[in-house]
Amino acid sequence: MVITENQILHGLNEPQIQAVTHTEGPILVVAGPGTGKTLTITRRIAYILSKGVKPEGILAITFTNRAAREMRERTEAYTGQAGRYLFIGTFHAFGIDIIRHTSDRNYRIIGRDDQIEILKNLTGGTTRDALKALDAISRNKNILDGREMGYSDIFKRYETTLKDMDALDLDDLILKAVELLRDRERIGAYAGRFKYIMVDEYQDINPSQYMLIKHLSEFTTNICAVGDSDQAIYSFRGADVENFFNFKKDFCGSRTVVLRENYRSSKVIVDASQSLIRNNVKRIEKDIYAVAPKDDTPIKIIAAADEVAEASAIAREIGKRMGAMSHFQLMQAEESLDYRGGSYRFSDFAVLYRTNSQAGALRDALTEAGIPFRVVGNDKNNRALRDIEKRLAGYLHDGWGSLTLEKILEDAFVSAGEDVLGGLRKNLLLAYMGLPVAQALQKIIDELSLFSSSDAYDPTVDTVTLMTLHMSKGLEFRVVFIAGVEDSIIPYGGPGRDNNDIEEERRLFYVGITRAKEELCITYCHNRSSYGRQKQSMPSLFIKEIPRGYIEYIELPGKDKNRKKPRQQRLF
Amino acid sequence: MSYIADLHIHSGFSRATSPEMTPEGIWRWAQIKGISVIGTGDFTHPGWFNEISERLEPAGNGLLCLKKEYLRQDIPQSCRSDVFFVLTGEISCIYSKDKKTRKVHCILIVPDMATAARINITLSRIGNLGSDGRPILGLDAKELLRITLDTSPDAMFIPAHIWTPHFSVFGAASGFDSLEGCFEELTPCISAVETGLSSDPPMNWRLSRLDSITLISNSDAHSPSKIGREANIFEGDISYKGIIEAIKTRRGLGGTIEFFPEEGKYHYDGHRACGVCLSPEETRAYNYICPVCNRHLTIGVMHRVIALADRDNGKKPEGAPGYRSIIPLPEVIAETLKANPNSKAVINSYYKLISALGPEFRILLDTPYADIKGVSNQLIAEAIKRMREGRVHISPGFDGEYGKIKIFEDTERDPLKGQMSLF
Repeated sequence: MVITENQILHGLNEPQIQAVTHTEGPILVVAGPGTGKTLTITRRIAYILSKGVKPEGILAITFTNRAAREMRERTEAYTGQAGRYLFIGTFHAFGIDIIRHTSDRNYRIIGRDDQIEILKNLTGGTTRDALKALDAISRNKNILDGREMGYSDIFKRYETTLKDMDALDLDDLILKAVELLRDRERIGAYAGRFKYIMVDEYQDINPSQYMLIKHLSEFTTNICAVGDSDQAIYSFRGADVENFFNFKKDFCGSRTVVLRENYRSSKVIVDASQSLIRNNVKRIEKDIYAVAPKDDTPIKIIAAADEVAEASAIAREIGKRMGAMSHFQLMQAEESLDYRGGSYRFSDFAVLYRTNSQAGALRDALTEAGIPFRVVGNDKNNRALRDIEKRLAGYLHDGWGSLTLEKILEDAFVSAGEDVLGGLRKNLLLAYMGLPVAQALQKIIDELSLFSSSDAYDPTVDTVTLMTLHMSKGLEFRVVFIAGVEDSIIPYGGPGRDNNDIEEERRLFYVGITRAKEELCITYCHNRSSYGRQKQSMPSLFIKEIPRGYIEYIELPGKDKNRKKPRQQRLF
Repeated sequence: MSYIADLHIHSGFSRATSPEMTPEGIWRWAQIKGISVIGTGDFTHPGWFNEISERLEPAGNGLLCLKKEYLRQDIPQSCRSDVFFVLTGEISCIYSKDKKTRKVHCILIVPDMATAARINITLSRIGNLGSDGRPILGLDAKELLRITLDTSPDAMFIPAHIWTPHFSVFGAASGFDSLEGCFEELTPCISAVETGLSSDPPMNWRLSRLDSITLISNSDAHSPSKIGREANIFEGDISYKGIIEAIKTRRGLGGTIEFFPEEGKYHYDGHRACGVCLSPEETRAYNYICPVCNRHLTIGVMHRVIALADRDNGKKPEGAPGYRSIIPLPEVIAETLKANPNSKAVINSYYKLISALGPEFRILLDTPYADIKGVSNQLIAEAIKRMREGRVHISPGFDGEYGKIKIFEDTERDPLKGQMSLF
């Protein structure tokens, strides 16, 4: 496949061209939201290949599997067959690769479910306890400082258990890789092959990942770090945005390129986001501007009486854009619809929130409105499915005696709330009860494995997406709602949180609002129930940081919410 | 023999439905109406699926019947007959294609519980089937067709009420201009469409591209008394295979029982809230803008048929079955009494008629006038006569408002009543 330099650089703006063509020596690409970061990285890979570099010499590290997949797909258009020899993957995938190629031990790699299982045994507690311990252990490993975080005993026993099993958890993959990289003699042949290294989301790397990059840089100086310090949101997992600011110091003779043109969002959204993020002190000042043609659609701010009213307002806003969901809704509408259909689909909408506890009211309202949705990161369901799958596999493996398929399914589903999985057991039973049990079990296991992991955002499923602001990073939607933009929700927590926290929370909010392409709608409540009690709530200080000129403010009527029309005013 | 089937209804698990839509309630009303095969509706709903799997059992002819312990006695002797259920469901596909929001309702008919269960499993990966008996899925209708075909060769996929403006394959607001636009290379797998209340076969015969497609009619009932307001007449022994064969080939399909399309709630264009009802010609004259509120009018079924038609008149294509137009019996009675169809007087008269003469369809379609007159009066017999002959006046429905039936001029009622007193 021969692609000319012209083709590779076609359509890129000046800073993007610089980022693509500056291949020798370290470079930091500061890429604001919607500035074509992935496009730039993929073209950069194509450019390097076009200079005769072998694909095996290129390493691109991404933050998520989804990002890796997207980058691989987009690269293939330029690389064709060569694409498969590139290494594009997450830190974890790269860690595995290092270990598989350079260690003589054959480690077992354990996932989150196994970790939870082990910790449940060690703590003798619930899944909740196990998750808490897991977070502490993971954080401890990522920040590499061996500080004991109140789980020292558990931590030690956990490490011993893994050692006995000859197992590595996901965090160990990086630590082990770093350990192996320290042995230059041994690793030289492997690591020496990477001549060009790219690291995406550099603002969110943690100390152990940083060590990995640092060690790799002993083999090549062609390190390209891409990211945006304004979108650093993972300090709670041990990420350290300082690595981003320190890039110049860490990698001598580096160059910095700033991508400024935002191709994603409307001008109002871009300008508002810039006004907001300028309230942060710790940042690299940069002017992001919108390429999109002028559009006067303001940012909507909706104030509701409580979280139920807030959620139904969001459902209503989605409904307005989708048109009626049913004849029943049409009949109930007080005025006839302006009838020309629109162009939306459910996956054009995302509802973002700070904490998972906010999802409940939103799910209820969307269900009530008949709007299909998916809660991303709802691993409760997912864990239940995996658990059922595992139990059924157990039966298949160990035999089921005289049990009927009905009894086997009953047992396997026992741990999963029937309501969560909505009639799945009955359907599985009726679908496969005609087959011999062994065959039926195999079919059912296959069926269950097709239920996509709800951890991951799946763009092929056409539903409204509900997820936390953290999960929204890297995604974009035509219409974005951010719910519960209130004091002590975002910024999270009460007094005693310091400025660093507020800056990180502001970045998180910034990530949220910059997901929106066409419309942004921010909502808050005057009252919110927390642990069964109604509490007064105040709008977040971040709302005040958005210039009024960009805002359309809507105060929903209080008690008598069914009758009155919302009062609308535009503030300038 | 011939028998009547209604293949599209909804259970109590759908929104805005009557709590009487239970297996027993549906079974009872099917007999009152004179229906032999009735869709279960809503097989995708976990609650309803559970209920039908417990209360229905295979009848041996590929259909299901109510288990003995659930049979009820409160049915007039004159109406009692066997009722079979067939597993059906409706999915609302809401998605976007070619940069337009599309909303297409589709009926699925499946041969057995196992097939229904397999479709349910696949669909539950896509959306929440428990939120509504007629679930909304963000799924391309073509993909739903593919899923149906992949699951079972004996399953049927039928686009529902194809002309209704907001939720159908040809709907003016969010449909397509052709079946191909929606189903692409899978279009040949569509062998039938449901015409809906606001259109009748002659309207559909104006499209030559529908010549090879079977037109079927169902009630889409949300409450028991609405069951069978449209239905299909099949010929031969009652069986799942027979029904599917007849729908696929039109052999064994005796015809359809139709609403007068004007009575349907989207026959003409207009705005319900503005009280504006317009013919297609008038709408064009107003440039599609409501003369009251200045917003876009809701475009009805007639308008849409004309827009897509390639023939002026609805001449019956070769091989197409015929049809009979009816007005639901309670409405006929109500018209003679100048009363509300739900009023006590109408209901009393209705039960009197069916108790004496048998199920509603028999009365509407076959019972001799003299017999009708014998158990009621001249006015009702005359009303049914005019209905059978199509001599009724209906001011067309529009934008969700049903059309208004008029069988008699006010000046006629009294002379006819006068005649009555003579006998």
